[in-house]
Formats: sequence, C-alpha cells, structure tokens
Amino acid sequence: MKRRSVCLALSLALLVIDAGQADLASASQSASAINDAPISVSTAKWSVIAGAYETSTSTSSYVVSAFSAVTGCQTNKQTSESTPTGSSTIKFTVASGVTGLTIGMTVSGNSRIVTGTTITAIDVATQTITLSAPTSGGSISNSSTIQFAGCFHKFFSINNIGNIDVATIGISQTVTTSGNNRITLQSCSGTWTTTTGACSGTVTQLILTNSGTGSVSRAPLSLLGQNAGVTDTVRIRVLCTTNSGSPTSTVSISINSALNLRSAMNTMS
Amino acid sequence: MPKNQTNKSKKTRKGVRAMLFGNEFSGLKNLGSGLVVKTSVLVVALLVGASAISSGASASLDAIAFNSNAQSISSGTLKLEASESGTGFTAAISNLAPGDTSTRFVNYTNSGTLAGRALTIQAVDSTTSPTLLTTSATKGLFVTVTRCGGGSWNSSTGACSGTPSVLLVATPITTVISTAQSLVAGALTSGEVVALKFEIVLPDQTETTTNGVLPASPIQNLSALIQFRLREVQRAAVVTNA
Repeated sequence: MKRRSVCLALSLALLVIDAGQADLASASQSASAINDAPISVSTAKWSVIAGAYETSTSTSSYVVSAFSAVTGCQTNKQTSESTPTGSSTIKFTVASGVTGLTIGMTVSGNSRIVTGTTITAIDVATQTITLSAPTSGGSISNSSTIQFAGCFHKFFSINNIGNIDVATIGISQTVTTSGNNRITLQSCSGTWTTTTGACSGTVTQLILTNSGTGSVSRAPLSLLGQNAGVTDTVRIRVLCTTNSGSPTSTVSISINSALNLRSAMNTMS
Repeated sequence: MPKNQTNKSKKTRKGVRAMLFGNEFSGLKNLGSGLVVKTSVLVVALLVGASAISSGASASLDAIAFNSNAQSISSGTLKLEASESGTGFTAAISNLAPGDTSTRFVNYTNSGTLAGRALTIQAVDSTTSPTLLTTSATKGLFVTVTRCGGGSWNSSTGACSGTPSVLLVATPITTVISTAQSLVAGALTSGEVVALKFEIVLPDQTETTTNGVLPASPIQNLSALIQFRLREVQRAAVVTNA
C-alpha cells in the first residue's frame, strides 16, 4: 500500500514536470514600449454670456430694462419733394440725408403726419424713410421740415467666458413692451459713445423686434470678430423708441459647436 | 561419511588453506590427487570472480573527448524602445474642439538583438473616472496611426521623407483601450525603427451651450490621461544546423 502511494506520487510529479517543459518550449518573449507619463487630452469649453459688464460671468439670460434717453437724439430733416396725402414714404434732400435716423424713431413736425408715427424703414440710397402710418389730410409740400425724436437706449456686454475662440455667436431677444415700440440690438465696429449712442465705426443692426412680445434668433452671427479670443467682450446697444410701459429685452446667447466655433485645427508637434 | 573421504576432505581443506594463507598450511605437498587441485582452482576462480564482480560496480574504463575551445552560447534580447520625434507624448493636448486633430510623432526601435513581430497597440486611460472621451465610440477620441516607411516624419510639417502607410485607420480610442490593435503583423528586424505618426481627433459633433450653461453629458470640458502601449513578440523559434 505504501509502495503504491509512492509510485503514484512519483508518476504525478513526472507529469507536472512534463507539463512545465511543454510550457517552456512554447513560451515566447515580448517587449513593450509605453509612455510612462500619460498624455493629457482635454476638450475645450465654449461658453459666451450676456451681462451688464465686461467682467460679468453669470450663466443666465440677461434682462435689459430701465432705458435712458439718448442725448441729442432729436433731429430735423428737410423734404426734397412734395408728399401726397396717403403716402407712406417721405424723401429728403441729399444735404439732409437720413444720417442719424434710426428705425423706430418718432416722426412729427407736420400736421399731415399722424401722431405716433414712427420710422419703419430707411433707404439710404434714395434718402427715403418709410412711415408706420400713411400721411393724411393733404400733401406735405417740398422743403418742409420734419422732426424726429424718441431714442432710449442701454448697453450691455457679450463676454466669452469659455476657453476657446468663437467666430460667431447665436443671439436672440424676447421683448416685453407696450405701445408702438421697437427694440433694436446694435453692434459697433468701433467704439460706442454711450451718452449719445455715436459709433466710431459702422453700426450693424443685429435684431429688430417689433412692439409686443416676441423672439428672434440670428445665428451664426459674426460679432466678436474672427477667432475672438478667450475673455474677449463686445458692447451691444439696445435701442428703443419709447420708454413708456417699462419695456424689457431678455437676451440669450448660444454657441453651437458646428456653427459658431473657430475653424477646426490640426496641430503638429 | 566414509573415513577415507573424510581424510580427503581434510587434506583438500589443508591444501586450500596453504595456497591461500601460506606456509603455515604447507600441506600442499600432501595434496597428491587431481581432485584437490581442481577444487582449489575452482574456489580461487570463484573468489577472483566474486572479487571482479564487486569491483566492476565501482570502476570502469573511461574515455573522454571535449572541445578545447568552449562553445559560446548566448540568449538574444528583445527590446522595444520609444523616442519622441518632436513633442511626442510629452506635452498635453488641450482645448480640443470638434473636428480638431492633434498630431504627435514617436519612433519605436526594435533595439534588442532578436527580430520581433506582431507589433500591436493598446491604450489606457489612467484617469480615475474615464469620460466620454475614452468611453464613447461615436463622440469620443479617435486615433489614426501612420508609419513613415524608409524615412522619418517632419514633426513641424507632418511630411514623410519615405513612404507613408496607414497602420491603424481612424479607430475609436475606446476600442483601442478594450482590445489591442495590430499595427505590423510581420517581422521587425533587429535595430529596425518604426516611425509613427499619431493623429488624435475629436470627431465633428454638434453641441450647443446656451448662456454659458453646458448641456447634459457634454463632450466639452472633459479630460483623459492616455498611455499608448506598443508591444511586439519575438520572432518564431528556429532550429539551426551547422
């Protein structure tokens, strides 16, 4: 019995040794190379907001209210031809032009103009404005003086608080107002003079919202300039034609990766 | 037993004793009969034979031949070494936007004495909580590996001075993490340099941030810590005759 056990143990040992030798015969070496220090890969954050100041970072829509009167907004222009009764347009002399006029300004100074009439369109090429209501009661004679007024504005900032350049932004506003009001968002290619609303460059009308409540989107929108850098900011003017009824404009900014970011890049190093 | 036989036996014993032990037993002259002589020879032979058998277990004739110049035998080495070509993997890739590509160049040398084969790549994300960057096969990072055969990469321009060939087509990095991918199925000779270009891409995708608030499960503002492990195995075992 004891001998049998010893024989069995020896046989098993031999089998184990055989298996080990077979394993060794088929084993092979391998070699690896690995970057011990992992390479960090991170994605950008695209984030642009509207706020009261260039330093604002609050992530919410921005409500513009409490508009102030524009200094020197009132201006006079001289007609270049007779305007028949029932007409919706008035043409001005080249000398007077339409400079300084803004859509939404109130029009007055002649009894043929209906009270509360505002400018609804401006044609710079023909020096002509379009009225919100047609003239009535007779024609307006040539060389008549027409008065314009009614400008209220406020400025706010659009700030890039992300860590990637954006080429454009999406912007929308929802207006709450009463009466025949127009609220316009304007950008300036130069610098704003906030008291007068004068722009040292070219004024671009971003969004015009009619009276009442509404929302308009415009995207993509070249606003911050090509590849505007991180922390870049731009001042926007909100112009309205009346301050009655405490109008408000709620501004939202969106950044769509497919529409608004800088162009895709391939960096090599 | 008869008396005469008893006497013969006594004489025989005396004779053997004399042969074996000398003069004290000098009764050899008394051993007249052939039987006694034969018996003595037999006994001696048996004793000598027994002696020969017992000494055969512990000694034998031996002849040895050996090579006076020792045969040198050494095992080969298998090494794969990486060296940056340009920045390589030493600098972070940051602020990737959808559609962006970051290209890095690394040379891998089969620096051992053995030829290798079956070069593969596998990636690891060593962040504690991997994100979509390395877990999503659609939104996450993709990697493409291209070899510059017979030449080298210019890390500034991306130009290959030899013949470029794609070893790994654009593949989700999550796939490269889960399964090693073949780069070179065949042999790598000893000393061979594999000049590789790694293109790490964040695929085009649309994601909108409104008023600075990121959407749910965003691809933006994420990070990963990636290691690329390239591995080769030794060439097939060979039997050489010489």
